[in-house]
Amino acid sequence: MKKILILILVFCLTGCYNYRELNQLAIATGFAVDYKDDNYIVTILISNSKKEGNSEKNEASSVVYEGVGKTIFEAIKDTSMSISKQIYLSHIEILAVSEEVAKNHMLDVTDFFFRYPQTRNQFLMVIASKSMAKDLFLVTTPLETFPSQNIAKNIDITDKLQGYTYSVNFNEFIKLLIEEGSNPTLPTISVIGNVSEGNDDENIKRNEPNTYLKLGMLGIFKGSKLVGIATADQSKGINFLNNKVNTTLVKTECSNGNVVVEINKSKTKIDYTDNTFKVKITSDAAIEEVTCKIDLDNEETIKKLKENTIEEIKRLNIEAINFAKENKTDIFNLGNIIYKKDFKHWYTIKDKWQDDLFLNSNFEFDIKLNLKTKGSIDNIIEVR
Amino acid sequence: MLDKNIEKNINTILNMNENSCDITVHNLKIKKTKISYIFLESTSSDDKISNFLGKTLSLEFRSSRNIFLNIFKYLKNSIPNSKIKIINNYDDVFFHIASGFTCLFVDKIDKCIAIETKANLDRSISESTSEPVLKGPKDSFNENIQNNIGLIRKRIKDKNLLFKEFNVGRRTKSKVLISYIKDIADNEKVKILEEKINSIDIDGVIDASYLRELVIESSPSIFPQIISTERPDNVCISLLEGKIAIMVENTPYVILVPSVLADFFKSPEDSYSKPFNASFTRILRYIAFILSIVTPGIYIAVMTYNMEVLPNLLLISFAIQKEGVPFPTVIEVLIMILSYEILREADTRKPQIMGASISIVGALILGDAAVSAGIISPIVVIIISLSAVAGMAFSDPDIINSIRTWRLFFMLAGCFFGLTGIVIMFIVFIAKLSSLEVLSTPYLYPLAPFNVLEFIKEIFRLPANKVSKRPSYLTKNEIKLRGMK
Repeated sequence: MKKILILILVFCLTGCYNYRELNQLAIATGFAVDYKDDNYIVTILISNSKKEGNSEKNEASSVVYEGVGKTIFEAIKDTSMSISKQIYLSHIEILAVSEEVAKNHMLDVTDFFFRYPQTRNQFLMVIASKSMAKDLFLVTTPLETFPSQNIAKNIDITDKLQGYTYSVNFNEFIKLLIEEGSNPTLPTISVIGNVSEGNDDENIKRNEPNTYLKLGMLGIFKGSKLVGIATADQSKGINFLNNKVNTTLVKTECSNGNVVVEINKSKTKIDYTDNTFKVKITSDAAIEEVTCKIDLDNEETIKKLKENTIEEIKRLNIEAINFAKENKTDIFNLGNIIYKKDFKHWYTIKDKWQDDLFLNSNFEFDIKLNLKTKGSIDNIIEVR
Repeated sequence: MLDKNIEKNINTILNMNENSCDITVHNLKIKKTKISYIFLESTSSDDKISNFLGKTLSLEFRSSRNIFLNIFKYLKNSIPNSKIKIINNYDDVFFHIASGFTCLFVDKIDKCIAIETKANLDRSISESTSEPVLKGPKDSFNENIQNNIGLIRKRIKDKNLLFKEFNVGRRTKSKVLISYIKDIADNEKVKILEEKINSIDIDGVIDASYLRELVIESSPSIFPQIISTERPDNVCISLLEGKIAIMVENTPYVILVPSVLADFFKSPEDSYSKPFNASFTRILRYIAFILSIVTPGIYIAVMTYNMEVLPNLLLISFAIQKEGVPFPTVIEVLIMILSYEILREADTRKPQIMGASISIVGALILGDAAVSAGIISPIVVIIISLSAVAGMAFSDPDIINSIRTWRLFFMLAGCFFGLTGIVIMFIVFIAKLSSLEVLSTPYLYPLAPFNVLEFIKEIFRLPANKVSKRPSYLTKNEIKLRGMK
């Protein structure tokens, strides 16, 4: 009898806490933060699960809702005034911020998402350059169902195949923000074309979309503030120094053409002694394209080619270092290397690190290149 | 005790059964000595009676010289039948008549001769219907216990294979046999079993499943604690491992004790197919078991509490399917489970001759119409069919039904407490299973208490040349299964 009573109590008194049905939720897949006139403008991209008519096709689509508030949470609450369902933020794929927010208000954004228990901290972050963050979600895309999915996959694939930018998820961002001697970087993205034209299904029906999104280069932070956006060469250098290279291409000049070498695998190790950093890079490479007349069967030529490529990699790295020094921010987490090696020493130099010591630090390069293949043909094409 | 007066004897027996319509008495006289024989038309065969009795009593007997000697003694010795018994009390007489004997009375003698003239009321040995195999022997037990013993003896010609007989049931007087191989089976277990069978006091034992509740399953449990099989090859494999077989008259299957949960995951087919393939199917059965029990529960938990465990696109796809369905997820799943169970029950009970009408109607209504009418979402149909099909990987109806019950418990837990509830219910599930035991054998044996070697042997079917020991929970005698000849 007692057992039965306890059972009944267990089911009646505790049951159904946090119960919710899936069709009561508005599943957000993207989140954008803009700042205008002392207010946050929050834009939430919500997957639209409504079936259209009686059609058998269960094709998903998405809608965008906007809210304004002094703080981010207020803005979200403002958004929910116009939504018939409960906003559900667990499945956000993308957090987009405008340049203005990245420059001045990043700490507020990170605080909200770090504190908010629902979110998963695995979403990718991106800076919208030259446009509002909201605009990124307005542009329809022919290849993916949701704009957020399009951005996230774009960042991922660029990380793997291009080597200009790398993906940074929220966890990594927070880690770089609060770690000793490190600064975060984020990829940027911009809208090419007219936003109002892109915000229409007509856009994806065209063979050549009028408006689309394109990834830019890395934005670098000093603490929680965006201080600059790198060029393509600098971005590559940052990739090398942060050991983030999966695949990238390195172009060198020869007599009156170019040789393009693809780096397939690369590892970077940085060691610190007496204000000098030894950068050791080991890469596997393959020749992808040759547009000048050289004899690839000749060992001397290959040797020359290798030397040139190594020089080029070195140049990319130095450009990146100079860019970081210009902006007085240690985006290569060198301070962290010192901290890990000798934390007592780090605490004595911590305060003057970025403004003084980092600017005067020296770099030595030791780059090893394994040229594995020349591609499917051994030499260049000779027309007889 | 029988009387010396033959008429009194006959009348008493007739009165015992109140002149039942199938009881037949024949009276004749030989040299002024009254002789009567009595039998039940329903259980005896006319052929046998005329063969054994008619001939003896008519020609040979009358012309014999020994007629002046003791007629009773002479009859006893000259009837050409191998099963002859001398009986001297009324109850026994009736028992024998009922079992198809013919009783022969001679005047002035207080004994009677019972001659076996049993009619063949059994079906012939047929193919196994509930445990079919592709390869391997196809014969199966039937209702005739002698037949069943024969099928086992045919396979094991060991002198140590014993069949011990008990008569159980005050009214049915059913024959119960326990069978084991003397120098393999654990004597302790045999002794416990014998005591338990002897202590049964019940009106009737119609079928072997009566014994299950009376003898083996002392604690109430959802999962079956015995294996019943209709395949003689299965019984012989178990006997050689050291198990004890219980056979009951008029039951076309045999109970094997002690059985553990792992036994339900084996199929006789395993022994006849290649070890690698058999292991694969066995692992498949374990996966099916878990899937069948927890899938609906986990589905409910994920859909109503823990949607954060789902990947993005899957969640959105679920949300689209769920849109427009008027019921909560739990009700949806319950509707589907209920209709599936009704369908299954109807399918089992309906006579074969009615054909496939039910399955067609069921598949149409459950699979298609309910979804397009927007009553349930398509994903629920997938979940329930996955769970149901996985449950069908077992041949024993008992275990299919226990899976069904636990499935409901898991659904309840998932519906009230989400994934936390599923985890807690799983702990309860394991605790419940591990608390069971049959003849002092733990039910989850190779798993709890854990035994690495046995565990590997249960999960994988090892090749016969790798297995050299009997399962240690069954017997301590004669461990070696295979010699090194």
